[in-house]
Amino acid sequence: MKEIKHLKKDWVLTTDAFELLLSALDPNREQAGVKYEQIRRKIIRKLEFEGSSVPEEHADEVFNRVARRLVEGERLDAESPDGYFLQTARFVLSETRRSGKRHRVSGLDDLAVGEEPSLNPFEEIERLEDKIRRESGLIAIEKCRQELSAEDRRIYDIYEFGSGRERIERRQKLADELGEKIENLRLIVFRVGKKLFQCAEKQLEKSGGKI
Amino acid sequence: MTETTEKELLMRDYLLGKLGAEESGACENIWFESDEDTELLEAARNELIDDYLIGELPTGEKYDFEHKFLITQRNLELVAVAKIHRGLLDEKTVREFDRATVKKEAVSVPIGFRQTLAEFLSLRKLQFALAASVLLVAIGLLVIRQGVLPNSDGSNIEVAQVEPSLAPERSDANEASPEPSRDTIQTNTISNNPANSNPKLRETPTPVAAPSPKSQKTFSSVVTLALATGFRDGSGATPTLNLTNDTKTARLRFAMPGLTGEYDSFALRLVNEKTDRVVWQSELPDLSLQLKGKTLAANVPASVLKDSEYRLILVGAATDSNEEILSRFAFLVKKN
Repeated sequence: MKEIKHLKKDWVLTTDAFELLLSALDPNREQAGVKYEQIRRKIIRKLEFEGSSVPEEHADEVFNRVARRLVEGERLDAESPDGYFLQTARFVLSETRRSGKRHRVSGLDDLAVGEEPSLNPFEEIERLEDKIRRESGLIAIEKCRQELSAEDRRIYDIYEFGSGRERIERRQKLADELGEKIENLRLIVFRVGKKLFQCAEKQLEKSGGKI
Repeated sequence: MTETTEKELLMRDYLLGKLGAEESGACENIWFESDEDTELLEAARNELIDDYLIGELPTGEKYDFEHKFLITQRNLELVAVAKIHRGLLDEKTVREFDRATVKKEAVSVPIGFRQTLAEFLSLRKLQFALAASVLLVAIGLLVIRQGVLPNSDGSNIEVAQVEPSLAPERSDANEASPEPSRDTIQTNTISNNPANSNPKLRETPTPVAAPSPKSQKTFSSVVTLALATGFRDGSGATPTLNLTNDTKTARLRFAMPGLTGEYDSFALRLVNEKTDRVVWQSELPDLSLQLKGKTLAANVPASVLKDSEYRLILVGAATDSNEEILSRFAFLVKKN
């Protein structure tokens, strides 16, 4: 068993294996290349959505694994191979997270949910929140807010503030003011929020306070 | 949650783990096909987190959120960061927007309504009835006017002004404030007065709301507590902030300390001593040098305070270095 694991780990994508992968996607090489690119983009989107810090690398790993299985004799549904790749992407990601934690965890305070079954998610959120606040995160996030344009900041604050009926009405008024449909406004705010989140993550990494 | 399309509802179900493995796979296959759908899915995730944080998830969804969504470290991090972002939203901007939209609504009559009204009035059969009604109403108003004292001060809509969460206290009472405070706090200033170098901490539980010249409306009540560095006041006791049910804002006054180092940014944090949790925070604008030695007031929403012991911490941070605690002030809160 150990031997198999060792072999899997050290398996390298050969030209033959890659050709096998392409032919499994489509007998026409050109079409196979197009499908390969489409699937790769799809996998990268999925990996980014799930929070992979190196989506391109993980996507390569997905293709390697599928190619290896094809070499081992498995067959791919040429009509809809995407699902198989996406499923493999899920495995790659969860395995990476597990192995990442083995290296990262240095003390009880750093244990994540999966490593301590009794851990309460609410306490974990609070712990993360505190950690961000204490390790210069709050100032980093505030700096990121200041880096947004004044209008983006205004839109973000108005959209996100409050709760209930009042919030729904305010969002509608904001959409009216901007001449946008509410669903477009949601995307506008989402993009601002994403900028904010990415900036904060960078700042946190810089200050060594990565969550 | 705002208006939601069928696709977004499906995305929500997917995020909440309500779909079976096959359906989830099929959805992923479609959604990750395009940048637009992927972005929509991310936006749906943000909305879901938001709804959870403001307590607007229905019971079933809340259960799924806590048991199926909050199982990955990534999602826990997203929730933690979203929580922090919510705490930094600028209420002043929102209230300005609210005021502006209220004014707009007051002055603008929708064209559709005007047209409908004009069409209604143009009906001949109704004109006589309308004229009679107007006459009757006019007579009625005259009668009422004689019987009831007028109560008009010219104002119609009053929107409470939101105070900045952190405001420097002016040492010169005559100096014009850029944003005049509407409440009158009868308390003793400590920090700018050399005679008060060892101030005895005082609290003024006086929810006094001074009416603005144009309004008779009462504004939120404020309780003020003056704080001094350290954990005890001059008499050795921890200062106490007594809050009533009417208290909306706790104004915590403290002196900006002299700084030995150079800092790029400052923040104030209020920590519950028992739970060691940050219950409120505010960024100090880049005013540190001008504010040195001056008295500041942090306006903390009374809703975040419970019967407990708290410490207000002033922290400073320079670029590429960790935060440093510059001052800390301890006090007790008692709610009556």
